Amino acid sequence: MIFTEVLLWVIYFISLYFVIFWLLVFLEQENVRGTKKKLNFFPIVTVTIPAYNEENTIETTIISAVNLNYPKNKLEILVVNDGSTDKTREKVLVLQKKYSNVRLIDQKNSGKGVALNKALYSCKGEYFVCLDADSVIEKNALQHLLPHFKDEKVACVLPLMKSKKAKNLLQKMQFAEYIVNIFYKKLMGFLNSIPVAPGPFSVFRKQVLIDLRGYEINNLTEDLELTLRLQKHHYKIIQDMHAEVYTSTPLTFKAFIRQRKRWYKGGFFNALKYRKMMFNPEYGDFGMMPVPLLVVSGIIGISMILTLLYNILKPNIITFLNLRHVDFDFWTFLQNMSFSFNLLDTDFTNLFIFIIMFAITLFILYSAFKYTGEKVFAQGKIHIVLFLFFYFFMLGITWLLLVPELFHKKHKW
Amino acid sequence: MRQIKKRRYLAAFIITIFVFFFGLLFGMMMESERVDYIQGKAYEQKLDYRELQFQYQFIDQLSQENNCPVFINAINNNLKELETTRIRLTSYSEDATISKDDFELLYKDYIISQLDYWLLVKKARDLCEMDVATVLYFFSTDKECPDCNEQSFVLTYLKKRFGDNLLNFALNAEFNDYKVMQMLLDTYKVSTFPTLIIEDEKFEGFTTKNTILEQICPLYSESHEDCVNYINVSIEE
Repeated sequence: MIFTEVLLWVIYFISLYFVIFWLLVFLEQENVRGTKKKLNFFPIVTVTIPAYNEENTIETTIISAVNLNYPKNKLEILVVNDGSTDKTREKVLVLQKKYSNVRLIDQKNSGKGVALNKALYSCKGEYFVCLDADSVIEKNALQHLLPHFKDEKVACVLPLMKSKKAKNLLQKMQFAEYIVNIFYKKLMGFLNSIPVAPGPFSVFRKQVLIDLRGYEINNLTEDLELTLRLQKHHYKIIQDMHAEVYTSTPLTFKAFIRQRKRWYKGGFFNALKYRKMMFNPEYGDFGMMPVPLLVVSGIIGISMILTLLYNILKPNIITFLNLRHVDFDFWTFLQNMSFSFNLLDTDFTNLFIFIIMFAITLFILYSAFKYTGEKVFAQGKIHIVLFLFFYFFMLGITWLLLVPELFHKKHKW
Repeated sequence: MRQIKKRRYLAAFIITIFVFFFGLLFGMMMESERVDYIQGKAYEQKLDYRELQFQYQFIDQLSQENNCPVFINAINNNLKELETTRIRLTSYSEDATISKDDFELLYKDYIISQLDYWLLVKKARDLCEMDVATVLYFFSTDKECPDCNEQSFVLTYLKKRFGDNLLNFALNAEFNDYKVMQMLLDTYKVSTFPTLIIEDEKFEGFTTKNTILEQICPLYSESHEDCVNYINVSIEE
């Protein structure tokens, strides 16, 4: 009992510390959204679309890339068909005939990392962009993203990655999560500490990728690994707040858990791989915050779920065991249930800390929506409430389900 | 070399500490409110008890037995209130940081209140023909008494079944430095926990539902569903 209480206090402290830290970073900034810069140079840009069995979405994705507000002779669209067994290839061929800057590369099914490397080493662009085949890009994206590269140290610029129109509560919650994540990435960007450049439309300076030998194949989260490598070599990564890309999110809980398990597993092992950066002053704020967070968030998630389960299950198991002494007559207890509520019964220390943490979280949530140009309740209210109170438990459950897999000797990438 | 703005980390740490400090301070302030609340309840319950004592004397000395139903009803209501306060007091006492001594004193006061009612019920039973059985339940901490949780569960269950016909008086034997408690422990020679005193008969260790039924059922003048069931099962066996 004492152990769980101490554990809870440690979780509270660490969580509150992180929240306050990022709040301070936010309050230090004068212009979070940043000023729009006019694009006055037009280098060749390669948009790579790795695709494996994406017949339902590939057309929309390619067309959104074709429609980018950018000189067509400077825009190369490379679709890497990763051994699709559906009609992905046929659909690309049709579009290839229609648009001269669309190119198709075929490979036998070898994974996203291999597909991206194939594109990287055969493309013409000075700037390399990966666009997941389930994502669509807003037409002015390159106009917003490319000006950041005037700074020679910038190796990568991230767009606002939002989820496509939500069809159910789970997707609406993910929409809110993506918005908050963009905001946190922006704050991390102020400390040059962005830990991951996601798949949909992060723009890279191609030469940097080649110098770093491209994407790591057989990595569960090759985008995270590449970003950690960029950080290791002290490159600058920027979160833009104007270019928007829309990506698909899991529709079912099962698909959601599967996706998150892959992300967290990848995050965990990549954090271990780059553990030398952790708390290493050579990497500045990046080593102090985002890298440890990749592991700490998992530990917090697992601890919270275990403590919660312990606190819920223990009294219920005891009650169930005690019921054997009264011939399992729980009906008598149900019939005679009584509640005597008194405000003084509340744990005021916990309540105070919770209120502070909750108030900061609400402020961050509101700011995240404000600075990403969204309205908090545009898609309803229920998902926001669920996001605030239950989403983290879902993530904690994912971490818990992942634990046995972390101890497997062989990791399936 | 990349930068670390140490001041930001330190500021976040200090603010976090401050939030925790104020949280603890707030908790402590509310702890004294809890002490005041229980003290207020104890005072109210003392007044209620004096009122009951008067009612008892009134019925006894002026042969006003027709007032017995009101008297019995008041006893039962007061005991329910007393039990609610006991549960709250136990919970507050467990959470207490700076007011442990205050809660300990209040708990001792509560023990006296329990015993006051126990004696009053014993006296009033014949006068008002109260159809009740009383159980003195000596318990201790989980460490010293691993079966106490189960015993409490069985007694709570029986209380729910028998309602006002069964009066449980739970006494925390941890307060054995208290003279009243020591006197009771000595009187009934209680050395192990849980121990039940059902109408002056002692039961050491965990006492099953059936053993308790065996003791209390003969005490009732009116038949109770659980007693009938128990007797039927016993005959079948």
